[in-house]
Amino acid sequence: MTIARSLFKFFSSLKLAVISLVLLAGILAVATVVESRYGTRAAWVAVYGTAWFGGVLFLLGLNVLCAALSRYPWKPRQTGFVITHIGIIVILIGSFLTQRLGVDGNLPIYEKSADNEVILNDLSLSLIDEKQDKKQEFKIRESVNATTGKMFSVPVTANTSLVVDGFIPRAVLRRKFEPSQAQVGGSAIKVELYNERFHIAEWIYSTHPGLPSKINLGPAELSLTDLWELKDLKTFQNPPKTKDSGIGLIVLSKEGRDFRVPITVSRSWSKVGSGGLEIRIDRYLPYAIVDKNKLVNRNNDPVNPAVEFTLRLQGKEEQHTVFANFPEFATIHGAGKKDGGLGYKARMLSLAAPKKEELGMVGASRGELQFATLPGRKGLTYRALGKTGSVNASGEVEVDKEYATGWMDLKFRVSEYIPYAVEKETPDALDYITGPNDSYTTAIHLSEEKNGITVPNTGMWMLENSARMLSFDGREVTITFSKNRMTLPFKLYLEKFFMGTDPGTQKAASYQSTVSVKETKEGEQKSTVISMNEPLHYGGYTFYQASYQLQEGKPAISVFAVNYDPGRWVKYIGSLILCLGIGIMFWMNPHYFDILVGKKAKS
Amino acid sequence: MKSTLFLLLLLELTTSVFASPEPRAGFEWEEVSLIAIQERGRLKPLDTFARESLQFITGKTSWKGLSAIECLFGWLTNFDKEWESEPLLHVDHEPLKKELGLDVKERFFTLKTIRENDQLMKKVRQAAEKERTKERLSELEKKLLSLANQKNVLEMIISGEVLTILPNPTNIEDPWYALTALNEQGALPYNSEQMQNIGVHLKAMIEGFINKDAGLWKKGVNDFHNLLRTSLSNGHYPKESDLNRERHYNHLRPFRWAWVLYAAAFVLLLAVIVTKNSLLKGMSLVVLLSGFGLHIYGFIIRCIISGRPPVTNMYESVIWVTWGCVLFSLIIWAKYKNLVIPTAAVVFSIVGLVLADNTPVVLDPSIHPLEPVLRSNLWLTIHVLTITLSYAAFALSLCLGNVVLGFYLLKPQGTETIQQYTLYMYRAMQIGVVLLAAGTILGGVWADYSWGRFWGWDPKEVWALTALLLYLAVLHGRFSGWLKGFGFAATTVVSFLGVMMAWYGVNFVLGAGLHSYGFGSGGTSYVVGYIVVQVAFIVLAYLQYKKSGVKNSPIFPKN
Repeated sequence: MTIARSLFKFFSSLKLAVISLVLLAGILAVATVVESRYGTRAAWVAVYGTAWFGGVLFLLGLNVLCAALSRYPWKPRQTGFVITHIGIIVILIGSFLTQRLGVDGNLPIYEKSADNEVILNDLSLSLIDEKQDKKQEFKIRESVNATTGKMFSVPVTANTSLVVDGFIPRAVLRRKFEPSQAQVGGSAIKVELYNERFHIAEWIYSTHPGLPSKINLGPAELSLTDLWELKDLKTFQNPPKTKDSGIGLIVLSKEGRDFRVPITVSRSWSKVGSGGLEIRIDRYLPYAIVDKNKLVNRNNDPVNPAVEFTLRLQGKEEQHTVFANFPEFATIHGAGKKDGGLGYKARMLSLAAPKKEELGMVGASRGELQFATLPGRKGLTYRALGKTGSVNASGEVEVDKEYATGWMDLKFRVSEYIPYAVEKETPDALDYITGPNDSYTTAIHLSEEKNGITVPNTGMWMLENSARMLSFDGREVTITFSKNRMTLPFKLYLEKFFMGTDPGTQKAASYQSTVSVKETKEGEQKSTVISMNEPLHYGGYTFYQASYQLQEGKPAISVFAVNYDPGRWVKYIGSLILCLGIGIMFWMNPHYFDILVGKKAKS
Repeated sequence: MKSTLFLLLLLELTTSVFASPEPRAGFEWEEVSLIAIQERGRLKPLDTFARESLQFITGKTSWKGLSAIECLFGWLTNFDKEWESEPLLHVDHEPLKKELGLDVKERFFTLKTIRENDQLMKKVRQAAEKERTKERLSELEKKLLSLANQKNVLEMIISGEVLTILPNPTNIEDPWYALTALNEQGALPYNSEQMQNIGVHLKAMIEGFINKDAGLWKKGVNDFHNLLRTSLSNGHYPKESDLNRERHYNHLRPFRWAWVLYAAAFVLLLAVIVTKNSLLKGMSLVVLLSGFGLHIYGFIIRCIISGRPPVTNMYESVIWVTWGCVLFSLIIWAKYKNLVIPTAAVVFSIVGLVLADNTPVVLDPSIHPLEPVLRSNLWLTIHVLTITLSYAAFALSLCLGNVVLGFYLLKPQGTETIQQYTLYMYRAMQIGVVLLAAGTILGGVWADYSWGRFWGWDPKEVWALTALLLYLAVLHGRFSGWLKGFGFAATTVVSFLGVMMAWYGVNFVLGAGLHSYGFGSGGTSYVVGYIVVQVAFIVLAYLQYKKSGVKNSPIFPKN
């Protein structure tokens, strides 16, 4: 009994209160420094989300509770004191409920689509075996700084396992290009574009030989093309006035020779090369899908471009279907397809990009700067086009030499040229935060272990929100690394996202989303508008307009903060009690309560 | 460097002689300073734009006796004749001057010197590229970019491309047009008659300005202003009264006069405390209350101009907190009738207002549009005003705590006096604790309302809580008997560091978190300086108090 009594006395002591208040203040001060240096998540990982911090808060709560109880039976003049301390305990209970039972996540939705996958804050690694219909999930233990060394391993087959042996909490992806040893791959150039006030540098990487790879750089569109043969140089320098269909090319190869046919659906025969081969392009499907065993076009958004064509040589015909995104598919297949034994391999290069929704750029014409590598990558050439499409300048490009573009007194320089380049994306660890605009992600390092020994050259980095398909001794598993997700029992459909700006600027002044709730038991709900400070309440969840992403060529994304908080009202009630208590304690004469209950005030 | 306006209006002026700029006799500036400009997301009078630009480029509020608006027109119309050789660009960072090979002893440089510096643009480009790829910038690089900005603003004024004063005839919120748009065929939505009128009136203005013809200038300005307000804007133009009010605010400088009056009141109050002269007392109170009145008047006008409560940046919070400090001192004075209370309070207000008045880089006085999340929200306004008012109460307790420490230093035997002032300090602290507790909770309510969580461990929230915990620790320390007379006053004073961290430190030192709208940098040296002086003062008082051998008596006077 005496132990319990002295414990109670210890926990109700005012001196412990002073110590725990100063201790908590000190911890919080350190936590904010951690946050400013290592980011919001780091402060959570190192302090706010830890068990020991929960312990400190519990200690404080216990202290407050014992202090209040130790003064029982309470005297009337202690009214304020008791109410205040009850308020604190109620708030702490409310916070506990929120942390245990609440949900706090993000729900990004594309315009004109519905979603119910809420992204939570914890990271996990999943192994999915589709054949066995098995899914394993592992929580990643986060750290404040980048760590290496074995964290955990997952057995995949009898003697191989997947090892997680590195974690970067703030990873910045650096796009790097290295010369290819085997002399394969597209070319890559680093272009600097600048004038007096402006300087910008970016890599362009040619991904499809014969076709331009384009990037937008400030006021200009830049492209790089690896030319196939010398005669292409003429077309590059003096492009035909008529524009091609813009769909793309069919490349036919046989015995090391390539023929390129621009895709124009004409349903008439045209010659390919001089060997008597003819082609007829039958159908172009920008968004090909298989419906009831037939290939049909879903809509004109070039998501999965495909083309059907027929080849004819000396009376023999054969039909092909090629998909731009799946060059490895056999091209002669499907019902009614004939193989004429002509022996041509075909693939499709698509030029079409998914539709652009031009944001604030309507009618804004821009200059174009086009680069091309000569066949065999023997040198680099360029053309600069003005806003109207006229050629301002052209010629050979030497590395590190300055050239004028002819518009807006902009000059350019190719600071690096790699004829055959391999693209490498490696995450660099950011040691600390440099400013509120830092953007980074998390990354983990995986490697394969056989019989407890790391297999060389199996190490790889995975960035947050990525998936990889790996094969271990014939067993195929899909590995995903992402934040935990939670599926809502209903879907939110984003009809429209709208951003208002400050007068005469592009600065966001307000943003709002028109949404409706779908797939509920009660049927579809009427659409409502969520805007800053005007959330939507549905099914116990609250949806707040948190942020947005606008990218050229992609539908807008509106990000909602999703919140479910069973402790909310407890905290509100606790807050009210607390304020009331402090008010009574400081601003009312304590003797008022003595008089109220009829006792005479003692002096 | 020649103004594009010349090319554009095909002016054939009798070229004026090269001369250094001097005030133009008989010229009127009021009308022209009321022309509206759409800049950085806000419509404002040219008066404001000219002041902000001059301040940004030169760090001064006037140049050789020329007002900001006069400088603006000088640059726009006659830069190459009058201003070419004026060292306008203010460069104070010594390593930057060394880096660029500029004369370290000089503080101002001509545009020509900076433009022709071959190092500058090369390094600026590198720094700008680093900024774009979000690499960390060194202090030198930040200053470099800042100098490049100064140069750009000046150049853009000379060319007229920032002077977006041609109104949009369809909607006042849509982008306006810069003077340079006159140069581009079809860039303006006006008809040929309107275009012709613009040319005629602008030409009159410029000719009048260059030839120092006050009459022609006045006529040009009047006609041009009328054209903007009526025909060109099609009625979509800011209200005359709004523009006038902002100009009035710019000219009145209410916060400067407020601190001047507070300073006068401080001297008078000291005299009253020493002499107990009742006539002086009346005078001092009149001066104090007029300062107080002007302070709140300026504050209200600023609210009307910006169309929102002043809750968004450091400058506005300094204005509000210094006012609150005087307010609470007057309330406590009303109860205890001791003039030392407001005397101590005005010291804080003078320091705060002088800083606000003189450090535009740290405390930016210009009015900016609000971040989306801060717009039109009652809870936001209430929680920020409550929390910052608690800072004001704590500031008062700081001032009074220092008075108590002062007594320990000078007259440690005067137990009763010390007890009395400790009570005043305690009262101020009580106000602060109530307001900060309520404000922190109201902040939770707002966060819940607009971000979806009551408490998110955001640094601003955490530091408000930390400051509160520190004061609570002091209060509980008193109850537990650990803190007596001296300790109580000293810890109260020290706890103000928590407030400073929550108020200034989170935005200027930590620089992270959701409350990041008011971010800035600088001023650290002032804060560190204050802390050093404060700690030294506490130590001195402690030594004196120990030496005196006076026993710690009950904290408050009996009854």
